[in-house]
Amino acid sequence: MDVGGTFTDIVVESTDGISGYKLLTDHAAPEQGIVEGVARLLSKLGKSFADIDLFLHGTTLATNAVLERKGAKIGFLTTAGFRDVLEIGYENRHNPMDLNLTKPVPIATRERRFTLTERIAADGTILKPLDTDELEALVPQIAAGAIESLAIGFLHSYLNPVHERFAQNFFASRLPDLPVSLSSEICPEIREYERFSTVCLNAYVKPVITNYLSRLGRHLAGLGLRCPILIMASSGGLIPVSHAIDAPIQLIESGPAGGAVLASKISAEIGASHVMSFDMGGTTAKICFLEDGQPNVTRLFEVDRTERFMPGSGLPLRAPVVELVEIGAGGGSIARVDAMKRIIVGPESAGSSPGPACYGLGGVAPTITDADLLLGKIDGERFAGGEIQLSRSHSSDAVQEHIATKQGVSNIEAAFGITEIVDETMSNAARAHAAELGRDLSSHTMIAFGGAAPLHAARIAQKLGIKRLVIPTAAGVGSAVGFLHAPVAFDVAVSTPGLLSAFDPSRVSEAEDIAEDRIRSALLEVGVNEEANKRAFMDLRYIGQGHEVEIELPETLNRQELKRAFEKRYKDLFGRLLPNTEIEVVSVRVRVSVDISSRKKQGFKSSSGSAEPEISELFDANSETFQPAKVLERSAIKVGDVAAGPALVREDQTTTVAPRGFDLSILAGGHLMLTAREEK
Amino acid sequence: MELSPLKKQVVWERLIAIVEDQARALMKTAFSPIVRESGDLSAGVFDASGCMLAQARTGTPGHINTMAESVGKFLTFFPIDELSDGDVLATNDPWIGTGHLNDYVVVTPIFANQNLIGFFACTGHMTDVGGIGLSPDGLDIFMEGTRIPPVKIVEQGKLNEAIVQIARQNSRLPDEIEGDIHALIACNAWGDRRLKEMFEEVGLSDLELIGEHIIEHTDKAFQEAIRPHAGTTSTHQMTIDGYDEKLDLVATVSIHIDHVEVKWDGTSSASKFGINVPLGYAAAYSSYAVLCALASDVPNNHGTLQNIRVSAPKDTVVNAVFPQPVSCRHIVGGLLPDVVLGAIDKIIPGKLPAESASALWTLTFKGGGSNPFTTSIVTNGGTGARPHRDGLSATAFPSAVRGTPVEMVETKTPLIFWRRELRIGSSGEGCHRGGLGQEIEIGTCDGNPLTLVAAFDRIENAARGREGGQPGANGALCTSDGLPLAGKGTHTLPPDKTFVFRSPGGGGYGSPERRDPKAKEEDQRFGLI
Repeated sequence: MDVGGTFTDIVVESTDGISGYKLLTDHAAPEQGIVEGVARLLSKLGKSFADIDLFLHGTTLATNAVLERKGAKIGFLTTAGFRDVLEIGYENRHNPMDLNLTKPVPIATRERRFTLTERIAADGTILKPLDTDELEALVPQIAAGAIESLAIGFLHSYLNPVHERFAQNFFASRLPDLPVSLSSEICPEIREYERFSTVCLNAYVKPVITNYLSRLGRHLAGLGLRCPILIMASSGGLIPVSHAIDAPIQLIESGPAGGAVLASKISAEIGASHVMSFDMGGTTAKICFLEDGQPNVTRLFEVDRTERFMPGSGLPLRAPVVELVEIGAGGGSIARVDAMKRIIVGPESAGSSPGPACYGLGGVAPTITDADLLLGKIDGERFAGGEIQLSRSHSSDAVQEHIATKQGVSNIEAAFGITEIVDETMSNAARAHAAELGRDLSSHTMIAFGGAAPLHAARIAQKLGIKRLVIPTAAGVGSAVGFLHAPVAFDVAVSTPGLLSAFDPSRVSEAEDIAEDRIRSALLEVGVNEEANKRAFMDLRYIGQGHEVEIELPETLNRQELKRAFEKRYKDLFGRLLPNTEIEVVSVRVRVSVDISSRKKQGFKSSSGSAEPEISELFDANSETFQPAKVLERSAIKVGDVAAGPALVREDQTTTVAPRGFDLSILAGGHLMLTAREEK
Repeated sequence: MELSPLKKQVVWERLIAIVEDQARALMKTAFSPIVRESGDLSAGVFDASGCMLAQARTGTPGHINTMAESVGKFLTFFPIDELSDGDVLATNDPWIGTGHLNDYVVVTPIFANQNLIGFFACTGHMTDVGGIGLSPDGLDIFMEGTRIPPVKIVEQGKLNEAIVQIARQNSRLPDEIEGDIHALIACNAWGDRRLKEMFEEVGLSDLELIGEHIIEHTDKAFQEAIRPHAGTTSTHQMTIDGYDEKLDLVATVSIHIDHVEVKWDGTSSASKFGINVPLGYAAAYSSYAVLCALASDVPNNHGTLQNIRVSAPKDTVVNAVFPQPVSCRHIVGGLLPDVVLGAIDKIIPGKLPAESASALWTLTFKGGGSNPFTTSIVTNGGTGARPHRDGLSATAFPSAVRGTPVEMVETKTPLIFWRRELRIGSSGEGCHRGGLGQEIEIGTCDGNPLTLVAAFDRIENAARGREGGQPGANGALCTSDGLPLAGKGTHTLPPDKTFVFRSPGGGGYGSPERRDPKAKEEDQRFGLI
C-alpha cells in the first residue's frame, strides 16, 4: 500500500490475481485510512487480515514530517568551532534575481546545536582528543532543552568515527532513552554540510516514524495480521520495520521508489534495455531512467524546498535514492496565466481537498484533470474507479474564468494550452535528465503508470521521439504494484578518496561486509533464507574535477579494467577523454539484495465491460481539433488484437489515450502497448 | 512559416531548457573548482545578429551580462561572412569578455542549411592564467597573466593547437586550463546538438521568428514594468575601502518612458592596482541591480538588456582602460549593485534591501614549502535586511555562487580550519536586522609558512542600513595574536600562527526600536546578538 499526496493506493495479490483500490489520502490519520481501505478491499475479496502472508508498505510520512515541520525537537552535537554548518549551508541564493528569497530554516535551531572540543584531521588522525568533561557538562543542558532526539556529526567522521561512537556510548549510559543518530553511520561521506544535514533529518523523523510504525503494527495485529511488515525504502529495496526505525531517512522517497521497481520488473518482462518510466499522480510527476532493468540510484537528494521544485532551495540529503526527476505536475496541479499572458501550470496543487474543480468539492481553480476532462480524455463517470463523479461544467467554468477569458481564446483552446504546456514541461525535464545521463531518448521505451500518466504519456512520447509505450496492468496504482516486485535490499557507501593507480580493493570488501551483515539480520526477521545478490559501484573522476562518473565494478578488481570502464562511461557522457590526466576514486557503493517475490505471474483482476467499442470525441493535439475515437474496455482487449488510434482505453483507475498515429495492442503479460506508426 | 502563440511559448521554454543543459554540461566537465563547486560560469543562445535570446540561470550576473555583450563584440573582429560551420571563437580579453583574464569566453556560430542562424556562447573561470595570479597587486594587465585576443580556437572543426599550447605554457595548471577550454567548446557543441533536435521536432530552420517573439515580448514586459516610474531620476553615493585609498562610487539612475539609464559620473579615478572594473563588467552588475529592483519577473535577454544603458567616464574605477590592471574587478564590481539599489530606493522607497557585505570574501592561499599548493576558498558575509525580512547570514550577493566545504579543502591542501561559525553581533540592527558575517580561523598542519593573497572590502566602510537601520559590522582580518592585517595585499605567517577572518554583516532596515520583541527574544535565545 502506497500513501501518496492525493491518493492512497492499495493492491492485493492473491492466487486469484491482483486487485487494486484507490481512495483519497487521509492526512490527519494516515494509519486509520490505510486500515479502512485494506479492510474494504479485503471484504470485497472475501478475505481477512489473517489471510495476508506479507504486508508491504510505502509512505510519505517521513517527507511530510519534514515539509510540515512536524518532526521531533532535535539536538545536534558537533565539533567546537563549527556550530553553524547547518545554517551557513552552501552560502548561495537559489534564485539570483529574487531579493526577497528565503532559505529553509535549519531543523536544529541554534540554541539546540551543541559543540564539543575534539578534532579529526582529513587523514583520519586525531588532532585534538575528545574532551570528556565537556561531554559530561552537556548532559544537564540536553535534559533541560527537552531534546527528543539527538544527532551527532563531527568533522571527518566518515574517515574516523571514533569520537562519534564514544559520544554515542556515553549518552547511551547517561541518557538511555534518548535516540541518537551518528553521521558516520547514517551518511559516512565527505562534505560536512550534506552529512550533517542528513543525520539531523534522520534524528528529526525518527520519533515520528517509530511511533507511526509501532501504532500501525499494533493496529494491524489487533485486526488479525500475523505476517511480517516490510517498508519500501527510497533506494528501491524493502527493509524490515526495525531498520526503518534505525535509519528512517531511508523512507524519504518511499512511494516513488515503488514505481521504479515496477518499471524495472516490466522492462525485464518485455526485454527493453533502455527505459524511461513516467509516473504521474495527483500531485507530482516523476521520471526515472532504467538501463537493462536497473534504475539509476543517486546519493544526493533535496527535501523541503522553500520554493517547490526549485533546485537548491531545500535541505540536502545524502542517502541512496532512486534517481527521479520530480515535476510539480499532477492531475491536481493548478493552471494560471502570468503577466506575459503565458499559461503556467503548477506546482501548486489542489490536492485531495478541495481537489480539481470537476470534483465538485469546492475547488474553483482549473487543474490538469479539468483540462483532460474537457478534452475528452477522461470518463467523468469512472474516475478513480467511480469513487469520484466528475463535473464537466465545473471544469469548463474554471478554465473559462482563469485561462480562456484572460488569454482571449476559446475554452477548448485554453484546456489544450494547459495540457500542452504541462506536457512540454515534463518533456523538458525528461530531456534534461536524459542529457545528464548521456541517453538518447529515441531508443527508449516509456513505461507509464500512476492515475494521470496514461492520459499524457503518448503526447510526451511524441515530443521526445519515443516510439514505444507500455502501460502496465493496474497502471493506475503502479507504485503499489511495484512494492510486490521489490527485493529486500541494502546499500552501503564508503568514501575512498585516492588515485585509481593506488586503489586498495579491500575498501570494497569492507563495504560488502557491512551490507551483508545488515541483510542477514533483515532476512532473519522476514524468515527468508536465500543467497544475496551483490553489486558494487565506484565513483571516479579525472583528478581536479568535481563531479563523479559511476561505474559498476567488474568481478575482478583490476585497475586497468576499472580505467577502461571509467573511460567508456566518460566518453558516453561527455564525448572526449583526457588521456594525460590521472583518474581518482571518490567512493564505493555496495548493494546487496534478495528477491522475495517467488510468486507466480498473475493477471490483473478487473471488472469486464462491453466488447463493442463506443465512439467518443477526443481532442487531437496535432490537428488541434476533436476527432472521433474508439472507446475500448481494457479487460475486453485480447492478446493479439491490434487497434489504431485515436482510441481511449478505459479501466477502473485510469484511462490510456492513444492518439492518431499510434497502434495499440495487449502483450502476453497483460500490459497495454502503444507503438508509433512510422511516418511515410 | 507561422508559429501559433502556444508553439512560440513551447519553443521559448525549450531554448531555456537547452541553455540550462549547456550550463550543466559545463559544470560536470569543468576542472576549475570555482566553476564546478561554486558555479562561476554562464551559457546562452544568441540570434544571428548577436542578440541574446536565452541564458542559463547561474550564479553570476557578472558573467551572464558581459557574455550578452561579447558576442556582438566578437562580430566586429569576425564578420559573419568570415565564419564557417565548425568554427569556434574564444578570448579572455577583459574588455571583450567578462572583465579579467581568468575568464574565457567561447562563442560557437550555429549553422543550419549552410546559413549562419545564431550563436551559442559560454564563459568559465580558469584557476590560473599565469602572471602574478588572481591578485590585486598587479600594476598593469601584463602582470596579470596571458591575454588571448579573439581567435578561432577551432577552425572548420580543426583545433588550433598553437593557441592551446600558449594557454598551457603560460599557466601553472596546464592540464586544468586545457581541460577547461575543451569543456567550454564541448558545452556549446552540446547546445547546438539539442537545438537541431528541437528544429527537427517542431519544424523550424532558424531562430528568426522565435527571436523576434522573445525580444518583442520581453521588451514590452520590461517597458510596462518601468513605465510607472518614468521621468524620475536619482543619485546615490557609497564609499568603499579601495586598495590604498578610499573610493567613491556614485550612480545616477534615470528611468525614462522606454529605458533606464545608469551613469557613473562622479565615481573615483581608476586605482593603480588590480581592482579596476572594465565598463562591460560594471554594466553587467548595474543591469542586474536594475532588473532585480524593477522587473525581476521579466526574463534576462536582449529584450531587457537593450533597455538598460550604462555609461561611465573613461579612466574611472568602473571604466578601466587598457592596460590598467583589472584582475580583482569582482571586488568593486560586486559592490556596484548596492549603489544602484540605493539610487532606485529613492524612487520606489520601501521595496529594496539595505546594503550587503556584497564583495565575496574569497580566501586565496599559497604555501606548502617544497610541495607547493594554491587554492581559493569562497566565503561570504551577510546580506542587507529587507523591508519585511531579516537579511541572510553568510550568503552571497550580488553573485549567487556557492561556498567551499571545509572537508574538501582540508582533503586537498594542508590547511586546517579551526573555526567557521556565524559572527555573533555582526548584523546591522533594525526593525529587520542584516544577515550575519562569518568568523573563520585557518592555519596549516604541514609546518610551512602560509601566504594569504587578501582582496577584501568593507573593512573600513560598513554596509549601511536603510530607513533608520544600523550599519552591519565592518569586516576584519588579523592574525591569531590579534594583529590587524591590511584588507588588500599579500601576507605570510609562520606555521604556528593562524589567520582570522571576520566577514562583514549586512545593514539593518528600519529603526531597531520597531523590532518585534519576539524576533529580538529569538536572536537572544539563538545567541546571535
